[in-house]
Amino acid sequence: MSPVREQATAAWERIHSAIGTGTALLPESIVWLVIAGTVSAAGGQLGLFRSPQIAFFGFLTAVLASSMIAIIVVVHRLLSHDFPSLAAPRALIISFAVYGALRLELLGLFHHVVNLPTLYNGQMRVWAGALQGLVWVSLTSLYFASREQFLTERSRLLDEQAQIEIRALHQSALSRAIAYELAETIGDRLQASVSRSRALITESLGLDDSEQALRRVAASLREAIEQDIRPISHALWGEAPSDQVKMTLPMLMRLGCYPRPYPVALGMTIGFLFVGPMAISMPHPGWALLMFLVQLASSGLALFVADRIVRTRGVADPSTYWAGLIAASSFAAVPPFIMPSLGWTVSDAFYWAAFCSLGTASLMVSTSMITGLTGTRTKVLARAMYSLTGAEVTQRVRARKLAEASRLLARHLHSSLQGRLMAITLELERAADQNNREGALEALHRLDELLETPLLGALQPNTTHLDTGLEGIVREWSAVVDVQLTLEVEDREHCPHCEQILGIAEEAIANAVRHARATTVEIDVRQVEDAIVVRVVNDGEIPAGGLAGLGSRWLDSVSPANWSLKPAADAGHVVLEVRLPVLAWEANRR
Amino acid sequence: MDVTASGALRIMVVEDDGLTRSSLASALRLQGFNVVGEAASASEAMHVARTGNPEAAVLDLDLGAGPNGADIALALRRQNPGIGIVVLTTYDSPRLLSLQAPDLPPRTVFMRKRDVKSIADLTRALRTSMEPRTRGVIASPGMAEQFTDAQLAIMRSVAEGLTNAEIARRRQVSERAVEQMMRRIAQRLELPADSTFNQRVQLTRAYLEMTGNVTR
Repeated sequence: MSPVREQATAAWERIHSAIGTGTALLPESIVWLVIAGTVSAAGGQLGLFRSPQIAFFGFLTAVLASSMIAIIVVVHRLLSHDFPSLAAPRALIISFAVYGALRLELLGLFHHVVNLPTLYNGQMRVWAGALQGLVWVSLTSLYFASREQFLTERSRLLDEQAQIEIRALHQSALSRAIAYELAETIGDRLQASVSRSRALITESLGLDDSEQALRRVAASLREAIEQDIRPISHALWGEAPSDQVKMTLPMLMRLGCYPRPYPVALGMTIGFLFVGPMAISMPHPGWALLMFLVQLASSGLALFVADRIVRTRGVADPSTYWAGLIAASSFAAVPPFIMPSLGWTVSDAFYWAAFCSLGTASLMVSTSMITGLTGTRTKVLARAMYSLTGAEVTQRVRARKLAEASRLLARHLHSSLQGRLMAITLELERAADQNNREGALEALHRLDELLETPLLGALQPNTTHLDTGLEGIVREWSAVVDVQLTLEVEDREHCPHCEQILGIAEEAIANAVRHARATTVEIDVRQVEDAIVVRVVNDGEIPAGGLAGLGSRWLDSVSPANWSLKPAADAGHVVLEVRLPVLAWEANRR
Repeated sequence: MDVTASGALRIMVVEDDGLTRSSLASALRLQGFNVVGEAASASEAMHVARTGNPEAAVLDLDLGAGPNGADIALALRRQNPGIGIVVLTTYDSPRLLSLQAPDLPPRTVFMRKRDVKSIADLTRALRTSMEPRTRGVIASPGMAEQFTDAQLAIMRSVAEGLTNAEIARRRQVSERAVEQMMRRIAQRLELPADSTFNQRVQLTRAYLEMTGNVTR
């Protein structure tokens, strides 16, 4: 690159940066307010409007609309401190281009198809165009700025999901590999161990069918392992709620208004194109009132539906929607009440009805946008983060289940089976020593029973309920430590994170006994508004540096921000508190 | 003390697998022991200990969820300081069951199931555990003894399929520290520095071998 070109590039970058920074400091709608007002006022002064009153009304409308947009943008920026520049030069340029194209196309189309003598005559296009441009600039810049955040967040989530999936797959594959290897090893060991006794048995008791039995054991063992692992693996994968982390529509909604500005901007533009001018040409104030009422009812209905959706998803405060309703309806009501009738025809009235519907639809969308941008955004994002954390917990539990299945598989194969092998070997040996033919036959019969035993029956998915599961844990640990349980969760059958809670309780007691040398442990599990809190208090010593990194399997599956281990207010006690976020729909299912 | 000759020595057996438990109890009875109770879990074990007043216990180390054999051994010893304890397991070391497992109480005999060639081996172990002069934990050295807790934790994580990054995150150390530790483990295992051998698979094999899963 030549020095001149380098300098030019650097200069352009500086200018670009300066424009971006400068325009970011000024809400662009204020800029457009000045432009629209100036143009409208100038038009009125130049006599381009039908009357000075219409020119003045055009100016007032532009002022009102621009002010609203400005307020929205300013409030929005105040609420979202980390929002990037809303008026990047790129957004300004593209918004002008889109606005121009849309305006030319729509005006041309409707001017020919719909003969509206009072619409878009002369100077009205000036302020209507300014208004549209204002809306486009504001919303397009919002769109670009928020889209960048949205893409970043989406990329992060998908990357995290991929890591979880890969890890789970890895564990699943490893569990299979372990199982096959175990099948080989245990089959061989079974054969080798019992072969030691076979000579004794054959010699002293005259039995010669032991080798055949062993072959059947080893072969069936391999076959059973192969057949059993697959359905268990499928069962684990089948029940995994994988759509929790994928970027589904509900997830996008939980992320707030990120994907909305584009259709919202389109709706608002269409609405502004028609509602204002149509209201101006009302034949009678009664029609204007009716229009207002229709808009109010339609907006109310739309808000009711939106509110139900939002309540179901648990992402927004309904009061902000009512605030939006009042704001939008007030705005919609201004033109009909201010302007007198301009003498419509029947066809005008027909088209008014059609355009009124379009305008109402646009108002619904804009109302939603206003509430989304102002009052609810912070809550939406906060709630979305909770939801994501909840989904993350679910994913980690799923990975944990796979690891647990792998562990159970290994344990069942090597501990249980190997133990039985040892026991049968002892019996065979004893039978041989005592010249006990019946005993030897019984031992060989037990070998056959191994074939009939469901090999992996213990690995079926755990369906333990919260109360019975916790009681079982407390019952077992009460043998070695004094354990007290308090459970305040209404729906113990469908309690979210049941396995997670049981795992944490088990691990917390084990740590209290083994690490902290506790003699008493109190477990308190209760549901609060949006989470289940597991609190475990023991009278032992607090481990230096907490539990992180000590192989705490269940706590590792909880977000570090959601658990703490610290001394209690009363001396000599240690408190572990784990917070498991609950999705709104799960909380509603209580 | 000749245990087999005593005839009436009271023994309890704690093993979660029913068939193994009954076979073991049956074999011990035929050797002349008085098996006062069989238990499959910690709660059952402590109940048997209270009602049967055993003089020795044969404990499986891995009892599934809940307290393990080491926890029960400590509780039994607190209840009866003189009780003899034999821990029978597939693991090379209690640390392989859980790094958080408590130390076994003194005068405990730690036996691997694969080392029990005959009932006489178990009888000898019981006799040793009852011997007042016995000090510390009696265990034949296994491969696990040459590794620290941290190294065993790394090996277990590798065997579970975790990446170095995830291991580092969980242990709150750098990935570089995990890599260095894995190199030291490989040196200790004398793994061939050969590109045809996958080091993670070799570490997994070694870990499984120590837990009684794989034989070389």
